[in-house]
Amino acid sequence: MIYSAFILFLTFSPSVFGKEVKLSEALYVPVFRDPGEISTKVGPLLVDETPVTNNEFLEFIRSNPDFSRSNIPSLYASSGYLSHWISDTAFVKAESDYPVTHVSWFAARKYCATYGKRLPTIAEWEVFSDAQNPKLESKILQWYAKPGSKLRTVGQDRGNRFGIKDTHGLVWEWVDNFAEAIMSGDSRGGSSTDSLFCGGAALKAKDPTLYATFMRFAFRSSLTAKYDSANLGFRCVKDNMRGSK
Amino acid sequence: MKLIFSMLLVFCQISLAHENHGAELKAQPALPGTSIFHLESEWKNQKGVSAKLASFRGSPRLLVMLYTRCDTACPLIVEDLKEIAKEVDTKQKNKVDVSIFSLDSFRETPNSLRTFSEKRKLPSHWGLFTSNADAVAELAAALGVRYKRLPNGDFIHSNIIYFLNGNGEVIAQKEGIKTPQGEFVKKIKMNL
Repeated sequence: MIYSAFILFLTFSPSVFGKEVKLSEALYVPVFRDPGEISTKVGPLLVDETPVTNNEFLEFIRSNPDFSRSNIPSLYASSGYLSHWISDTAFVKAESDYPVTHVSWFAARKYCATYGKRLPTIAEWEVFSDAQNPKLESKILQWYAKPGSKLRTVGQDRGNRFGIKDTHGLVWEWVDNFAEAIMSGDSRGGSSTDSLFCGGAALKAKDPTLYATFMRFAFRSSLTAKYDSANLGFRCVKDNMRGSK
Repeated sequence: MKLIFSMLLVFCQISLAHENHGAELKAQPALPGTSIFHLESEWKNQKGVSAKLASFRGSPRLLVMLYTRCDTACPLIVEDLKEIAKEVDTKQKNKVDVSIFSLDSFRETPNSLRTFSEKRKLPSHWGLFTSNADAVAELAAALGVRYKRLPNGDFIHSNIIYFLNGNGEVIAQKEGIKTPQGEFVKKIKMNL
């Protein structure tokens, strides 16, 4: 009994896991539209205030050793998986609260599911990050233009208008349906890769000035599920049943 | 009394040993890291029978992801599949297995799979499968299939035919519809 109470404390210890921010129901209007797409309802959600950290991910690995660096099947991750860690269960202590990176889609998805959450969809991410706010466009582009920027402890920016932090300027983030971002030769027309996709061109910009949105779209379309990189992390969301309309 | 007891004990040990031996026979070597059999999702076939991907272990197969309400590319990719299977089968005693996985977790049912199988006159040993959105997302991610559900319920999706060995590893793939299949068929024949 004492033992199980101890485990519970470890798993749900508030000192390890970050806060969640309430996001009311909102409307997402995609910039790149496919036939019939106008807008999607998003939320109400509870969104992780900050990206998942090395420390948080370590807790997950401890309860899911199948996802440690040496155990994870190569179906779920490439050789770069958690390559910035010192071992299966150790990393540089100063980086405890840095966002975890070098994680695959499979691992990020499993992490969220373990805590009763899930990865956000593209629509949800675009809304809660306030990414399509024209006032943020230049700030976001400045960050995209800086290759290999250094990581830092999460939660140090002021947060956006929803109170959600680090959506731009720290790491790129996994979305659950990254595989929906389809950018093939057919967007230019007449390409030999036309027949690769059923349903035609997926890339139809409503407003070509939204260059940052285009960059994210292109990035997602280049991802594969076992990919990882030094600046790709994630955060989780969950549906907020009691959320306000 | 003592004798009966010790006889019982010996008997138990024998039967225990026998069970252990059975377990050893059943144990299979570990799956290769890239095997799609690591996925634990449950699927239902056109007869309504449930199966996990690992139940395919031991038999190589052609695999494709599509949805049966698709009336543009999907019938064509099925024709491609038939042609490839025919070419591969000429020199094989046993017909190559073919598995079709539906992308449409919203509307696909064992019934709609059966209807498609009949309408397209698919051989009876071909398996058609449907499951929930998570299972579809994971299998598609593992294979590298990209897809998107449109508001009208149709899907935009990659048209890729995969060939998997008996351990669930992708050995070869053919992208696009009505694209040359010579190389693909050659690789399959080498691995059957």
